[in-house]
Amino acid sequence: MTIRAETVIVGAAETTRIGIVPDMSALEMHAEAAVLALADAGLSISDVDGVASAGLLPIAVADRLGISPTYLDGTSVGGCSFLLHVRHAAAALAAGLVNVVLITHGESGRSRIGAPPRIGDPSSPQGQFESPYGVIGPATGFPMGLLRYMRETGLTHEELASIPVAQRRWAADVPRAMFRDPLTIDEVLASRFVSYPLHQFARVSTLVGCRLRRGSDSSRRREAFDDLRRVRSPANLRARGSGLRRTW
Amino acid sequence: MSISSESKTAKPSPKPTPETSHYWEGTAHGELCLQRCSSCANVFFYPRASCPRCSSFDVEWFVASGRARLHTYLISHYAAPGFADDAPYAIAVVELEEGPRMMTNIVGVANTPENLELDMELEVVFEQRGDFAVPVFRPVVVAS
Repeated sequence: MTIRAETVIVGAAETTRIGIVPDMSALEMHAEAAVLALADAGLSISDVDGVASAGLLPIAVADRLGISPTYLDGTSVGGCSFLLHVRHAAAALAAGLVNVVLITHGESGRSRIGAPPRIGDPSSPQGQFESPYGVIGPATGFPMGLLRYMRETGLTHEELASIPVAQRRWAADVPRAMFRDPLTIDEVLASRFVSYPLHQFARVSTLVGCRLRRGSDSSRRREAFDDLRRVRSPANLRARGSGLRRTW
Repeated sequence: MSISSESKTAKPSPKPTPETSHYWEGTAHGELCLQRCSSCANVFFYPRASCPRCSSFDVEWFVASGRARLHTYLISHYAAPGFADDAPYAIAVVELEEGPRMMTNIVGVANTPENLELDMELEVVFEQRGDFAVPVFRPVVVAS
């Protein structure tokens, strides 16, 4: 699907500290990244009328920041929630439902400070038909289809290992990346298994905050680009399209 | 926390809902129960009140054969609560003879890539988790 009205991401930021941050709650991570993203865009909280978030409820993030939103998106479908937030925000901006959307993610993944509990409801479908088999979190769920995929497509362990090798190469130029040293396919294959067929080095981590501004008519588009010129280093990304595909 | 108290952590136990209670009553008697849609003949898992293919609420229970093939799996080196003595352990998706796929564990064989071949034949057995028996699968021993 292509959203034709122009939508621009005009600010983006991470929390000041990333990695292991034991003295900060998940909610404060949302808030700090949001404030820094707005500063990056040269805007303030009072400009924001839409909030999208997952993990924590968007209303909790809005209340923490002092925003009274007219647009909320709490779509929560795991790590790609925030890409859907961008997609939904672009559609909402194009439809005139909202002018400025703040999209936040904050995860106290290692320290678990103010983080939602991981244990699910034992009466849910997952609680009844997955949890009893030792399924807990992404490492025990995400790789499930891989062996079948490898069987059907001929994908090899070496080819699978080339993905984190490429990611590490790109991370080398990102000062805040957690792992920046070059990595080889042999090193990936020699690292311990976390969840066979995936090795320890096949992992990801992210912390991102950003906002969108509507530019669906010429005056608004000009405003958006004025915003971009006003700030020193805007993200300046345009949402050109998005897609969803089911592969299970 | 001592090792002995950690090992006492129980594996997660299901909590049935009205729609799934027949399934869990079946497993208590050593039966794997599935549902078939009376309108479109679709066989489905997990248990629910209406057919996920045609939405008909006219669905009936039957006892499955318990035979399955290994569709895919992973081997977790991280132990979920209650699985400290099992890790590394396989979490598998099996394709039942009647068609549906379900998540399970593989028993009766060391959970290694060498032992677990995709499409290998399996049969259901039951393991106790708290007050409930959960279906798990073991390799079918082929008579030679």
